[in-house]
Amino acid sequence: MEMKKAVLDIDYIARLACLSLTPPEKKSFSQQLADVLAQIEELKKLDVAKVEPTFQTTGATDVLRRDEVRKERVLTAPEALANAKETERGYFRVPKII
Amino acid sequence: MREITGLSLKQIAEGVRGGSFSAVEVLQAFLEKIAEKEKALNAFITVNSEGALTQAQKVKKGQKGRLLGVPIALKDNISTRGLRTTAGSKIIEDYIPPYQATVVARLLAEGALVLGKTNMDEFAMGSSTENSAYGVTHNPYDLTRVPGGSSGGSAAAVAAHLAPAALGTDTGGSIKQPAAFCGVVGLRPTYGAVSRYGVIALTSSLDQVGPLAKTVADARTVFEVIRGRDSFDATTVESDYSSKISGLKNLRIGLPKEYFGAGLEKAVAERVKQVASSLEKAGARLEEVSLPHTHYGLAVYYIITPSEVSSNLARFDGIRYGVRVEDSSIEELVSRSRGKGFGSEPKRRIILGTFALSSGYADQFYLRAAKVRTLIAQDFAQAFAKVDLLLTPTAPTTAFKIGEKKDPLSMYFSDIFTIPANLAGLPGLSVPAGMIEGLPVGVQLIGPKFSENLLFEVGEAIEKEKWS
Repeated sequence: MEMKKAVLDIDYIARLACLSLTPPEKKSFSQQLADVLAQIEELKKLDVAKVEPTFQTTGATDVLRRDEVRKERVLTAPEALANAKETERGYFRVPKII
Repeated sequence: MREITGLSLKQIAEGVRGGSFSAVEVLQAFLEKIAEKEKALNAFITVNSEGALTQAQKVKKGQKGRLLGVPIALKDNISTRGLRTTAGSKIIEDYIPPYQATVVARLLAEGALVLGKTNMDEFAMGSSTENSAYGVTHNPYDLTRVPGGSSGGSAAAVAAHLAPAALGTDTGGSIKQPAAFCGVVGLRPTYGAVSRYGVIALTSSLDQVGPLAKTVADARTVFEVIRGRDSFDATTVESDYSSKISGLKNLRIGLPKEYFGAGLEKAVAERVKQVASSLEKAGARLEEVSLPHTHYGLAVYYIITPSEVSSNLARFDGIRYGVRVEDSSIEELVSRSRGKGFGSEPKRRIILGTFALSSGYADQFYLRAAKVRTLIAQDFAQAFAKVDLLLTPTAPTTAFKIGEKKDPLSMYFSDIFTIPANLAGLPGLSVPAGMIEGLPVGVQLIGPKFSENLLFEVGEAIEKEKWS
């Protein structure tokens, strides 16, 4: 694969992450993350063409459970809503979407 | 009789069971210690005085329970039903979990009391507890220094006898490093040994819960209570912990040469060598081994962790819980709520992780890091073909000054010796080995998966030695 030069467009990434940043945050993060990315460039020194990736370390595959309701891990509606700032008639309230 | 706050977990549980003192008396002793020292240390975000008293009043002498009447401090990213859980962040400052983490349920089932919730770097992102939204925790040995992190509150609480034991979480070294800085024992279990259900996720492929305690025996007791398969966490596995190897005689201990190079404080290196010699005198065989990809651990970690963080922290949207900043658009509501609620380090990692996973970069960053993770795990597998366990420094230095590490990169370096084993899913035990210029120093034992019992045995041998 062709290596793209790593250029961090902070406005674009912040929008993808749904995270509003102040102008000073944008400035300091851009600099700090450039330093971190320079450090990460180290990894390009290694030839990993024939190496399989590790995403988990237990080796477990297809851990299944019975398709049934287990009440001890089901929240009631009042419990699920208890920490929300805005609710209405048993629902989370959000601004008009459509 | 010794003061209650100086007793081991077993002594407290047996004392309560036998009627030497009541669970309420035990709790009062620790609450008094907290009242005396907490102002200087700031080890707790929430002290559960009333809740723990209600629990203690129900404990009767003669009852069963390995932790009968034992107050345990919990890191504040471990969900406690009905008791505020903040993960060290303002974004969920008023969050009351509607359910219990499995590890908490297991402690309670053995008669333990929830003493309180300890301070931590925000969402466990940090190595000094300075990233907490609730102020820094101070090291009990020197109040101008950090306790390490991210489980700094748990380590400081145990070291100062505010709690007989605590739970922490360890992703890159967040149990082992603060244990070393505060002179206590800390176990990061094998990945999959302990349930993560109800633990606020940082990096799901690395996070593990483990004990911080005053002795190896106490750490073992807590580990035995919390470990084991949990049907609420599909990554947990049941394992046979019975060690095939026993005793120090002919035990093969590897010293990885990459852990004794640049960046390691000379006095720390010397202490690790002294520990190695004492184990050799007791019959162990020392061998130099090589873990050639050690150097890449930090870079791998700082791709994998932010990538998983950017996904795990997406749940904090201002709608279901936490800080909510009103806006007429839902996108702006979510974005502004997150901007207001998160501190600097979570924001930095969300940005880095979102970038590392974004179109055009995911292969060259995330996938490449996952492949190098394989090479790091293979290093350990090759080493364990030659030796039974590894002995290393836990951290490159003793506790540093509050405010000393200003840029994120220099802070990240304090985890260089704990990260690689974590990436490989291996257990690690940090054991105190005396002091250097008035500050505790710890050594790390790393073993193959599910070798915790061997680590405890060797840890006890180190503990028995008199270190200066």
